[in-house]
Amino acid sequence: METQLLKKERLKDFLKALGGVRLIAPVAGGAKTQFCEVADIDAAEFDLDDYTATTKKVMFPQNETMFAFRSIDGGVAVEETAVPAKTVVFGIRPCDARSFVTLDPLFTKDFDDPYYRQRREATVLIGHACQEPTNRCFCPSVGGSPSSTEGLDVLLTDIGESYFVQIVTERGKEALGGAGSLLSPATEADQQQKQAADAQSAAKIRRSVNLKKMHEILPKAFALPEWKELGSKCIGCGICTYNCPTCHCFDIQDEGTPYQGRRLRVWDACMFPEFTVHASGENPRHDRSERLRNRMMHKFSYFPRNLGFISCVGCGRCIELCPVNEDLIQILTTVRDLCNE
Amino acid sequence: MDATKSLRAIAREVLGRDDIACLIGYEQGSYGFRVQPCVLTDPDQADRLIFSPLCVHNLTNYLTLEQIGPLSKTDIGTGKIAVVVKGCDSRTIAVLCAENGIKREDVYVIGVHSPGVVDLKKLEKRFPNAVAPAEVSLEGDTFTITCEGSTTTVPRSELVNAKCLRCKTNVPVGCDVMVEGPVHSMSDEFADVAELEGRSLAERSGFWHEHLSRCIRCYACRNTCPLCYCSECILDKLRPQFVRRSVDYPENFLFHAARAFHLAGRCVECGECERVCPQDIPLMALNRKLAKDVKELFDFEAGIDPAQKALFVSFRPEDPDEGIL
Amino acid sequence: MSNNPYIPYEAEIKEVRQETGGERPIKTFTMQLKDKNVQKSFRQQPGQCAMVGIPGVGESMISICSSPTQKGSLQFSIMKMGKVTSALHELEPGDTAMLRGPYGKAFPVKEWKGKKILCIGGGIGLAPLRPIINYVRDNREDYAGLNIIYGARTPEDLVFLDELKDLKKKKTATVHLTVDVEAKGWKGNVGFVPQYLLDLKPSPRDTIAITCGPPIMIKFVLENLVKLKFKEDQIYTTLENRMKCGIGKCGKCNVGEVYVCKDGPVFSYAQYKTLLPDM
Repeated sequence: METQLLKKERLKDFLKALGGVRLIAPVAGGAKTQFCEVADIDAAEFDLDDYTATTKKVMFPQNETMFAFRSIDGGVAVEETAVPAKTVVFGIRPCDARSFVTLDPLFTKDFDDPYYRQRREATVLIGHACQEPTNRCFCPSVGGSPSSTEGLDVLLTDIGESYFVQIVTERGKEALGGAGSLLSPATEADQQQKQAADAQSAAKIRRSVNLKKMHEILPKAFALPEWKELGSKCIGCGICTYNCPTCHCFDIQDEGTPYQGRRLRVWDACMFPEFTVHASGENPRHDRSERLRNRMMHKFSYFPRNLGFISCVGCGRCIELCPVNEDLIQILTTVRDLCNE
Repeated sequence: MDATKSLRAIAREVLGRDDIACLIGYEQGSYGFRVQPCVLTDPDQADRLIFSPLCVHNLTNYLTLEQIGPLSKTDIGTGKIAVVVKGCDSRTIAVLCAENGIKREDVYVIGVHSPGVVDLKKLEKRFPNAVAPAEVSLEGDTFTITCEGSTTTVPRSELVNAKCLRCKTNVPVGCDVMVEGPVHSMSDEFADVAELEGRSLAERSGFWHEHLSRCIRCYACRNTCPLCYCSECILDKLRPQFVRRSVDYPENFLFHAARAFHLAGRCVECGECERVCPQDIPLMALNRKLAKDVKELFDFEAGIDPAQKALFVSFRPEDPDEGIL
Repeated sequence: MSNNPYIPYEAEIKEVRQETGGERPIKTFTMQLKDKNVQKSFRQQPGQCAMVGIPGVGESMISICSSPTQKGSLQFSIMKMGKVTSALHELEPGDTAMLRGPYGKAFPVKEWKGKKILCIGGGIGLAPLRPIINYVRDNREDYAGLNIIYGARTPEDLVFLDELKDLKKKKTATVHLTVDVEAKGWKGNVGFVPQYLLDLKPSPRDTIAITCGPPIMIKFVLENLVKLKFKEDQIYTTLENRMKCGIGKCGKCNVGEVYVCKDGPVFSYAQYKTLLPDM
């Protein structure tokens, strides 16, 4: 892997040199840092210390127009949406970048989802390694790390006055073309500083969950009566699902009239009571604990068995943000204990 | 006074009674400062209960969700649901009974004099990354926080939840049994609302635009609110559809405005909606504006008196009628 | 034609036939895809479904109840239930609906050649079985037999009666009908389908049994087929769930680890048993 060095004070020049692309970065300001489009790089105030802002919406927006329609003489005309512009996402965390590796097979296998795929193809991911993992992080338990390059095109690690730049993919190398003059070769000393920084971050992660063979344990645990209590606190909101980088459920709605309008997809959550309700009123999962169990099964058993990835990157947002402390680490550990594994 | 000890003793007795189906209380959470709601069915489980300034949740929410803990509504049968409430939480039960959302004889209310609860976001910012179970206690005007091996004291005003700085009374209303403790009574002049009201229309519009654009419509505010319990919420309905499923400022504004108006005269300002919001939207500003209006127009505060009728079925001849032609 | 699997195509309503009345009427729509290229590439197999809808209202996953041997058009039997199906019920011949598909795993008709096909249906559940009934009817020499056991709550709730009578008359199939309760003018069997199945005692030898109907009926029919000594790989069913994307991405229709839209709706009994805990 090619490695370079970028002086931190040149960061904005670096971003400007990426040239002619839509830039999305974590912008400070207001009550919360959010990943948003940066129109004026010089004026923007980046917040690279934030760990809560989500990036799922870059590839999988909360609202996505699938097509517009209007009635024409004797029928309906369907107008497909435009291909997304070339985009660079800067400052994405390694866990969030890994989430796209997990989502790729879901959206592209069997049937090609053009909305996701086109955004994926048009987007370069420049990551920022985590220096201060928080008490909700547990990425090593799912095969990640605060300095993982999986899913990234480029990774920047803060080693003091400079960023240690790892150019992970061909696409990353191509994207950095215009910024070449701002980079200098990384030395052996820089390499050691990088290793020290990585080790320091990794040591800060203090929570973990044993996921060995979990995809086999969970189906065995399906009928355990304890699920009722494990899921009893859940209030059926969508906080965990919407903030989860790997949750992908969506609803399709039509807006407008039969004469003119659009069909769009919007995020949906399997935790909502109406998620599976039939037009007849029947609901296969009317219990909150059934829905919680389904979410655990889906992320740690069905998804890995069908697509080969655990549908979790260990970011811990669901744990931190849950209003009632439903904690998947606690749930999965309890399930394992109950099955004596 | 050790509220935890008293509460456990009460719970042991209550759970042993034949007419009680379950008890909803608080227990130690999974890490750090977290506390979680729990549903107990056996006297042996009583020692799981705790009571501390970390007990922020309004447990009465579970009275109106479609199932209660491990027991579904049909499982409960003829047994009562016992629930632990703070002063603010107890007002919810008064409102629910006044509007026939629940029957008073179906619940057994265990009140606790809470000295105040923390603002969890402020606490976790000040004492970040706690993993081992941490403890917080409040005596007089001082919090004592034990976290990751060290103990620190912090003045009450610096970490307490905003609602506890204007708590009219921390003595729960309409209880069957009480865990006594320090009593306080503060005034609430709605200074925060007046400040917002004093801003220009453009400033206020900008304020709500900035905050409500961040809303991701996770429905946590609605689901955590004990007074939002319509079997088919108007904000979900598709036939007819009032709020689109697409998430943008106009739809978000409609969502929150509609919910706030549906809570006018009913909201007890427990603040849970704002606490649970993952996007840090100041929802209480909206609810408190309506509470202030209700107080000024009708001299009414929701839930402070269990004998009180619901606002919209109480008519006084002197009620303002500018809107009536 | 687009590579985008979410894009629907115009289909003209050719014929609308009222099957049943009441609060939840059923109509059978015959539709023809307007674009000849789309029509040509829409090669559905018996048991598959399509997303049928009206832009501005929405789409619903409906089984294609016509056999691929009926060329040039597609038929859907739709019960008026919710927002989309109510709007579809307003359509008349000449109107345009939009559809996309075909989706799902079909009945393994090639594997079943030489066998006797036993279809057990309840109510509107006959619609997903009709493509296989008609496919066997049109390829009758490839199959050793066609037997239909079908019931509904009342005689008015029975669908496709004319076709069933025709099959019986032409001796293409044996047809046994039943209704749940006594009804004026009904001279046929009275009793629930699962019990009627036991009464008729069909032999499992070289037979494939397929069932569809209300979930409770499916449950008992499957149990009774096992009682009649049908082996697990001789029994098939077709399931339903709320579906949105139709292609296994939106997460709505999963039962256990399968998606009904993509891995179903046709399931063998062995598969169905693994799904039972989550149903």
